[in-house]
Amino acid sequence: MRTLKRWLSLAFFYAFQLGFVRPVLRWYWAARYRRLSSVPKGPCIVVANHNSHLDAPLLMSMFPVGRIANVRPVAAADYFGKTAWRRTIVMIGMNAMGIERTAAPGRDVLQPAVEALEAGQSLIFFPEGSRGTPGVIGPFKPGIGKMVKSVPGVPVLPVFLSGAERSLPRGESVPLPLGLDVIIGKPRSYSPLLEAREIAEMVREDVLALAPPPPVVPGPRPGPPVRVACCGIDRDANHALFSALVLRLGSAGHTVGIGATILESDGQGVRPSDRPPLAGSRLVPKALAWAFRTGGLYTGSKFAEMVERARTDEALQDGRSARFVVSDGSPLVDLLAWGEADFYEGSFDEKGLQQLLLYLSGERRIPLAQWARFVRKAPEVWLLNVFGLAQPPAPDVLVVTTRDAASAMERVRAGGGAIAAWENEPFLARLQDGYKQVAKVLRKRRVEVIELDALDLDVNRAVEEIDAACRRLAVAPVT
Amino acid sequence: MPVLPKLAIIFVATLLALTPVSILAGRRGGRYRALPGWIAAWGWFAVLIIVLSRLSRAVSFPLLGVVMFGALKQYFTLTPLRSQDRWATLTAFVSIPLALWPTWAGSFGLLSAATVIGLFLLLPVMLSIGPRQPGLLDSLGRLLLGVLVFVFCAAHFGLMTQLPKGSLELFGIVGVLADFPQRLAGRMRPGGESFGPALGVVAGVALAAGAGALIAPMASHGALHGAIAGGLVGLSIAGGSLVADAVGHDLAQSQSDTTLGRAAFLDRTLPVIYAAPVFYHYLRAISS
Repeated sequence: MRTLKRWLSLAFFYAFQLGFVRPVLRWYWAARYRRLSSVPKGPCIVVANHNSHLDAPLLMSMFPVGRIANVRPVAAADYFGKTAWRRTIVMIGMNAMGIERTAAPGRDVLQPAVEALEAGQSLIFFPEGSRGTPGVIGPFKPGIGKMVKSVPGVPVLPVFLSGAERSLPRGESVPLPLGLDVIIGKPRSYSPLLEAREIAEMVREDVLALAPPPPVVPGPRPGPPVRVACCGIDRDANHALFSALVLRLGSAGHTVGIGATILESDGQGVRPSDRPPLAGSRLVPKALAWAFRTGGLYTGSKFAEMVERARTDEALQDGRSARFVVSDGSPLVDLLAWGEADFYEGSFDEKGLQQLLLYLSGERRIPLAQWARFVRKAPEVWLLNVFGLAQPPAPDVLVVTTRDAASAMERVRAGGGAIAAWENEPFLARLQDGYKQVAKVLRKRRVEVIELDALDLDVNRAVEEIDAACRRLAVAPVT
Repeated sequence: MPVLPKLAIIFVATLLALTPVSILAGRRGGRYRALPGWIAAWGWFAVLIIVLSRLSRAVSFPLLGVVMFGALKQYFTLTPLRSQDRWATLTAFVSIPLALWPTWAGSFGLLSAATVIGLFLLLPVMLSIGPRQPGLLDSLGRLLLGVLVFVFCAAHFGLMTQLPKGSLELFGIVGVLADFPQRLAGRMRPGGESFGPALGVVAGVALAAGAGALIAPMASHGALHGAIAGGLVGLSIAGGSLVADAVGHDLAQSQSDTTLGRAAFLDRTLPVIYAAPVFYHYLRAISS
């Protein structure tokens, strides 16, 4: 009798999957799968964001037909076990594994899931716990971390689901035929030595890193934030201005400060940002920097740091997260100034700048014939362009602090730290000229440039001037 | 065994001749990168046009319906409405069979009543029901543009089956010949280069008019009317391209995304669909 029941369940499961789920996903929604080849051949834990009842079927259909009987979505038993209809569809038709969302004392609710993984099955997990608000990715519960710790050898496959939150969001019963995208990441493992919460946070970051830019929905749209960059050869002066500006602009609107750490500021003061990093892993830029021997300001891990900062800055472009973005240095301006000082060795003209700007903004690829020259002289620009690592945005207000090279060098020496090879008087003088040159050309591109003498710097007065410029730009209509 | 019609052969031959040119030009990069994708899209148009022209309506109209459904789905994926506009979106999909029915009957009057009067007046009401939230006009614009192009204009492909045999292929030939020079020369964009694109439009209109004059007699139309219809198609394609580009820009799509990414769908389909009513009504007017 039990065998017959099992066979009947299996027959219903295959009939439901092959006769309904897959055809409907294919013909009604035309679901698109990106990087399907990343799905591991063996058991794995699939982790995705969750906004719709379509999510589990979408993830199931990533797997080849021959494997689907071994793929089990983990579902909330308290919700899906409520009625016979839900039980039939979810537990049999979808082959789901029901687990309790709240554990009874002394019981490990994840034990059946661990056993299933050990038995060679793959699991589909939605660590947010429930479907939540459409388009919002909530915090991941530490259960996923516990699971990863229990079966350290099983890879985790991050997946980002897009479109289902609009096709069939929570509370709706009629599914709209809108495009569905399943963006599959690379399978990876996490150290079992980490805390479950840390692993959950890392998994969330991996899922978020796959997210495409959100579609533009009707309604009032915020303009892009006003960007202020403090640049120049006097790094102390830049930093002093940066800190004061983050605090000051915070009173005018939500401000994000991009320095050594990410800061946020509003009417209640400045605090370190608690938003998860948007840039994903630094490993690839670091490896590339090492392989191609980046230099100057962006040696090794500094290059990866710059890429992360540039990506964070890019992600703020939609204006929903910040009204002002203040950065301590600007990858775009710094790279241009270095281009003048080092790469072009004083022969920098407007054409050269335009060219570099196009390369850095990703609008144009560096021609193949130029690769050797760029790899040798400006590997940072080449890496950003060819590998599409980041497209550093241009500032709206550029603050350039100037100082004569001799006193700048004295200050470096007085700092007592290690002196980099490029920190010498002639190069600093060239770099200073580079910043001035870049400022001159950016001014023509409607960037507001404020030059300040670092030797005679009154931070409060300077901040007042910059603040006025920013507020003016913030209310100006977007053109 | 029916002989393969001459106009269908000319249409396919035109596409085959343009394919290697498009692929080779695509390798040059820049704005030419979109050409291989563009010619592939025309390949699908050719299939639809030949099926509509040569097979019975019982076969071709369901196919047209599926294509309209897919196009509208892609459009709404690209240009989402507000979350509360679900029922209006669904109505837009339901309007496809409602538009195809008068098309089947060959009645433009009925099509106008069903879409222009029924749908275009009904949809604003549907969007206005429910909580008052910002974005009504934006949402309405998106919805009406979708219905206008992918339901009302696309239904004209069905109406074209009522024209003399070969008219659909004639539309395909003048359409692809009008579109090609415009793509080579680049799109007209506010603030962008204007001489090259204007030259492209002129060349496209001239080429389409010339081809129309030569081929129209094969589809039982006069050479002069063929030339005028070709010219009108060329101008409509230029207008449609301008709209597709502006929509892509409004959706914050980058320049390359509007021609190569997801928004390329608009760039490839909208101009051609835009030209269908112009072509149909001109030929219908002169035939009557």
